[in-house]
Amino acid sequence: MEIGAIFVILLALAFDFTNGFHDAANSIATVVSTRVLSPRYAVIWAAFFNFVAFLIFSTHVANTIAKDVVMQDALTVGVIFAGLVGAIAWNLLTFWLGLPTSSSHALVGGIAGAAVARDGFDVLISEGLRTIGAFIVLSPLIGLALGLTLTVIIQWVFHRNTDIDRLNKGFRRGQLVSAAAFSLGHGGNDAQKTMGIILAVLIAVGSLPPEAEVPLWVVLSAHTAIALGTLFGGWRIVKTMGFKLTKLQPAGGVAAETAAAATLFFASAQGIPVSTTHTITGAIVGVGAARRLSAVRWRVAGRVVWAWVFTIPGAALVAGVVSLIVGALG
Amino acid sequence: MTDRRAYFFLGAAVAVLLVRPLVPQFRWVTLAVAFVYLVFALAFATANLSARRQAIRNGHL
Repeated sequence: MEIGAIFVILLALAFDFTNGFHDAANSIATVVSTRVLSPRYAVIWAAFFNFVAFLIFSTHVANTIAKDVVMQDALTVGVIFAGLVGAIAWNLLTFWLGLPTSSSHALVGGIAGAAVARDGFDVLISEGLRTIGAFIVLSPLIGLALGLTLTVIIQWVFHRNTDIDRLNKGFRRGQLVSAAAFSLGHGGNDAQKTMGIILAVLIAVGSLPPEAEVPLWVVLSAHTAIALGTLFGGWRIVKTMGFKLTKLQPAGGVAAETAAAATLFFASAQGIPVSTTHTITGAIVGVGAARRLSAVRWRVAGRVVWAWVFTIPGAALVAGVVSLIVGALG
Repeated sequence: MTDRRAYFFLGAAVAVLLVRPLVPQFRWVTLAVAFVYLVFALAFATANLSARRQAIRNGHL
């Protein structure tokens, strides 16, 4: 295999590592804030379930990234490299600006932008992009609807329970399960985006035929990268984020994480790459809205909406410029 | 006064229905989500969910 392809594969795994680093906070912030687990044990918990997700989910999302965004003829190693650089640059820029953007959408936008800059709009696969675009809106809305419904169900079932300590103890234990489920969903959906990139590289250099499925070593390396990212980077972010999310009671934490996990399971089963950050944000908004609208941090929700609007075109633009530079350099 | 959540959930239902034509393969999923939002919009517009309010008064949910 050529050295350029190996470099792009390593870059994709580095992207996966940073994904785990950032998104660990989403899956275990509520567990930490309710003091069910210490930050250190919480990240070990999340990393473990990030890794074992490969035993549960197939590789539909990976195939979508590799085969349903851009026509395979246009996916050269240079285009994939430019797409990755665009996604990473966009993530760093928005991280610096404090915008909660989605790595997944940046990746899709980056790959699409890099390919368009090189070969024009004809290389885009409209059906795949339409589905991904629709679920940018739908995944948080599904998470929100499920979070809201679960919260109302919990309230109806337990509203006569006056032993609050016992109730909270039960829901704290439940949070271990719901956080594990969310980590499974996170690992299942997000690690597959990296698998898709590596699959596209292997097809581009002729190591695999176009109709090939994701090899096992790619599956294991992507899950290892995201789990290591969670393990080594997550706990510091969790320490900060976990204690800011104290408004959620254990029951709300269970509802939000279960709703987001169910949404991610559905998306992964259907092969749709979605944003885990936006999904859990939608679910938390749903839990908050079940109490009262003012319980929701609308400023954060508004910033997420702006992130939806700008991520794909922003990452596409950066990747397009990088793609042209890579093309000019030969 | 109508609970503001009624308008919020009505807006969410409209957003789901607007996106629906883009994903005809998921028409049942989008319809179910829109239906959930409409039910909640109706519930918050017309009545109070007494159990919910009681739970909030209890302060444990």
